[in-house]
Amino acid sequence: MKELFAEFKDNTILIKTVRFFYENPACVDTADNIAGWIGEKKKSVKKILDFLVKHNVLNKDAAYVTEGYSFTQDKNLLLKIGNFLKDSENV
Amino acid sequence: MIADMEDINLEKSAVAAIEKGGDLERLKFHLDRVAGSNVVLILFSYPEAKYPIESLLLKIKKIIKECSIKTKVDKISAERIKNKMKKSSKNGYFEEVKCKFARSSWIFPLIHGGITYGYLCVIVEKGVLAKEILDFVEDYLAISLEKALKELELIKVHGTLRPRAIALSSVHTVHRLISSTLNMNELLPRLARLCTQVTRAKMCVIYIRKKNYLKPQAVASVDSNLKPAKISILHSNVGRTLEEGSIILNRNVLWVPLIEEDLIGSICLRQKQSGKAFDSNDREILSVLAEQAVVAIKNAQLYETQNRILLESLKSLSKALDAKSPRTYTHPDSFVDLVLAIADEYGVAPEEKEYIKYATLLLDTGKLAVPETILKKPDFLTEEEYNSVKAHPIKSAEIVKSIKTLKPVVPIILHHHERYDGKGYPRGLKGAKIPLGARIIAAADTFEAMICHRPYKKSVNFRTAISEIEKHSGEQFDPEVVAAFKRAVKKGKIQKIFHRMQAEIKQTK
Repeated sequence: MKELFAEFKDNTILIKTVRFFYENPACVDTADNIAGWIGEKKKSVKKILDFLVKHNVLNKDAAYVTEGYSFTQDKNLLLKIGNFLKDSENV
Repeated sequence: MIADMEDINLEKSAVAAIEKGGDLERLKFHLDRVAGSNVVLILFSYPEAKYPIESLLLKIKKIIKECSIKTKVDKISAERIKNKMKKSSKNGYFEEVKCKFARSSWIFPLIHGGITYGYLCVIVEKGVLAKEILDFVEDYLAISLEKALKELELIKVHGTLRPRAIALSSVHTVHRLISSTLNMNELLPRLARLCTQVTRAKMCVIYIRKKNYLKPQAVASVDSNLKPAKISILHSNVGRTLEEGSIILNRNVLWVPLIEEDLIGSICLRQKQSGKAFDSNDREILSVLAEQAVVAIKNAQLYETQNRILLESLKSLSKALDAKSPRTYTHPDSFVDLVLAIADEYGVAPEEKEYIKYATLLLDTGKLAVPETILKKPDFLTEEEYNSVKAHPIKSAEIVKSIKTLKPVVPIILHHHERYDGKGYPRGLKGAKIPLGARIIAAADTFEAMICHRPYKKSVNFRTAISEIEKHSGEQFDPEVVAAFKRAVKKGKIQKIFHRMQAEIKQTK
């Protein structure tokens, strides 16, 4: 978790990705589409998405060529992320 | 003219958009150039203009102070400003205001489409603005207001369409994820989880119809260990309603039937994570998902049926060969269990395990091309005879190759007599170049050959057979496969299979 929040400080794509899922928690989408939603390059977004999967912020479903990313449903983690996003807004 | 709260917000937003857009700064810059640096511009929204005179006075004072103009703003002038606002709104034109604290001042109404959004108060402490300049200000404000309204409309459209587009994209991704899954054991839990995800429900249960009951087959839950019970289709309200093809939408429960001609199952959601009630939007999303789920479930069921038919056909073929000459062309039934026990311990993926299973049933079909006299010869084989036996994996592979769905099985069959050190046949492949299934079968085949009596070789006991397998680890067999084999022995799996194998052999005799 420390690694995740440390990364938050300097990584704008990471903040944009987490904010996107925080604002659209029901979203299940591919890296390609998520990159489109947040207006970033797919390659960079894919890297961030897999980093977030590693830290249980996102779930990943894979079936053949399709990989769908979705937001955590863990209440505590959602709370922590919410607070962190608020703090990052205030900075 | 104010219709409702939404209009009030729109008026405030429009004025705020003009303020934020930088148009006022630009206008002040030009007016200052014409009249000297003493022009003050104050924007009022329509609702703001209705506030008590004290509020208006406070705002005017504040802005004049911010502009570093030293003048005393009086209440009477503020009242005049307020009155001119009303008048300008009525006439649709700008009005001059006589203020004590300024040389000249005007009120410009912000009107578009018959609606007054607000006013701009232009105060010039010293100096006068020509009529042409005032006309220019009026036009400039009209353009600014139009721009602000278009911007607000764009924000509104974006705010409405974006969540819908994201939801639509999510449904499409879920469709892709479930339609690519043909394994029911994988499909149903995934479907349940994705349903909770897309609707943010606390729980999702996928029911599949078994005769006159809906049986829960997969549950995804955020924070509940509730075990759902089966539901009678004929004797429960829920069952009967779903059978009719109707959706059940309550505050905390949403049932959507899965229908393909008849009811084949149902998706049930329980409680929103937000504590809110399920609504028509959830109903719409779940209905679309249910339609897609029906296709995915039917495909998976067909695939399972197809696999079962294939397996049964292979077993029949194996039995037919066995009938010709028992154990000459086939292995005991428990041989499949032996191979799969090692594959399990090795951690082989389910799909690969299926292929290994099929390969195990068809390993020696190529022996049909070898004369029975050679296969049953109790003595050592001549070189020519041995070469004929060694060709059986190629023959087996050729027979199986003709069945398209068994294509992945062919390399396993072809190489099941290869050795890890490269001294095997038919190709002399070495190490990891030998397909994993073939490496597993090679160890199981040797083990089975040792414990079962052969025309040319007597059987050995269980412990000796295991020692032999261990002894040839890294030479004849893959060390990792041997390690998996030993783990299976340690867990008692191989002993059980050994006893079954012995019983089968006795029966055949």
